[in-house]
Amino acid sequence: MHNLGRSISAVLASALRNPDSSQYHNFKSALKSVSTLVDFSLMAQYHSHTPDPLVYMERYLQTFHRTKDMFLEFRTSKAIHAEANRQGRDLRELMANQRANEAHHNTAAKRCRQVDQERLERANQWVDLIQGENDFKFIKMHYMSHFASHVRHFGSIWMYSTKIGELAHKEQIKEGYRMSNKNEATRQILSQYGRQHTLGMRLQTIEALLKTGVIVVENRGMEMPTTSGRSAPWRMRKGCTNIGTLSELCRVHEIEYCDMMEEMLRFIKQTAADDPRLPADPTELGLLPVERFT
Amino acid sequence: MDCAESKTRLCFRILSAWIAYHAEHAALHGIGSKSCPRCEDSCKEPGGNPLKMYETHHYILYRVKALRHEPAEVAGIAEYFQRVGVKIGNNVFAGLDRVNPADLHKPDLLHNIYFVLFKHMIEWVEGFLRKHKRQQAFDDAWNEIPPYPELSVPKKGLS
Repeated sequence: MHNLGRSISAVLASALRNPDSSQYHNFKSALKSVSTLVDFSLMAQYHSHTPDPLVYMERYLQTFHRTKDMFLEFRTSKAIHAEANRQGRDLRELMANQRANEAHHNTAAKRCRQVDQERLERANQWVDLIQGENDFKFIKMHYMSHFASHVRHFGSIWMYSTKIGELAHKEQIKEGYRMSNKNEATRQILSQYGRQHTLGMRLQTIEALLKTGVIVVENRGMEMPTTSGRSAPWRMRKGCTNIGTLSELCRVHEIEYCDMMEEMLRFIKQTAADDPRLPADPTELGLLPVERFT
Repeated sequence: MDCAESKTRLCFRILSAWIAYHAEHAALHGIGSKSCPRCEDSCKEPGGNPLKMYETHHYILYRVKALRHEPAEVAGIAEYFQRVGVKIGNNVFAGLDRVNPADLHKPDLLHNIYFVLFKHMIEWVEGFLRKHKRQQAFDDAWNEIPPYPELSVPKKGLS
């Protein structure tokens, strides 16, 4: 619908180009009506207003109401359509009975003229009924008259939009329902969103703390964050006095020994040839004292 | 409330907006489904006369009338409520301090403009194009809209 508001005026102007003389005024009114409604809606979405846009909004609204009668015949509801059809059917039966009674008095040409006249009469009755019943009286049409005064008294309309709340339905309710087993889904929906939200908050917290260097991620195996102050292995060993070798270090911190070896071998291969190199054998590495790795 | 300048201030929390769509406001304010939460008399011709100024609903007065009326006045009060488009006199917001319930209703762009008025407008435009046999021209122009940042290209025509 947002895209519709942006492009419908131009597309309609293109579609209604080159009107003949009988269509000119109708097309002009229709285009004016649509473009003023679109302009009104676009201006209502301003995040801040000065007095001029509010005057424009009121003018657009007045112009729309002045030109909207072009669309009156298309405001027919299903109920009005049904009523018009019912009245047309009744009138057709009544006229058919009258014609049957007078049939033996009339010639064939006269009967044809009579049928045409009855058809015209039914069409006129249908148009009268539609025009009499159709209107633009619905509450959302009335609400538009409050927009400008609302901005004057309470600020931008954008602040009070339900758009954000409606968008939350997708994440908070629909996805929760989709992931539930559809059996007593309410509690599952609530717990699912709560779980997702809590995990999201937790991850953001960890990320923020990692950036500041307050915490060190353990049990990652693959990552050794470099932070200021003491080295990471020292902080990991803090409080653990019975660690002598690399295999014991892995056991205390519950790190997979094979992951640690893989990382160590990769590190050893990248070490320059003139630096003191560690042995490339995993068994030999596992028996080395941990101080060699600080 | 403790403030940064080490002073304690007396604060009043005032309800200033209740963001909801029309059906919810109609239930909360106790008005008819065709009535405006702000205006009296609009239920008879909502949107019919855009230039007409209506009286604002006086929900506090309705509450007083509903609570303190004499038994003999019941018929008169019911007629009065019907005339101003109110179903029940006791609005849920009418008892709040410093709150005018008529001000709580806010125009909603999403439900008012996009979900209703634009939807109606499309129906009118479709009927108008059908009557004047311009549907094909409209669909052709609609499908020719080029891509542009923040504008998704329509995949099919209007009709």
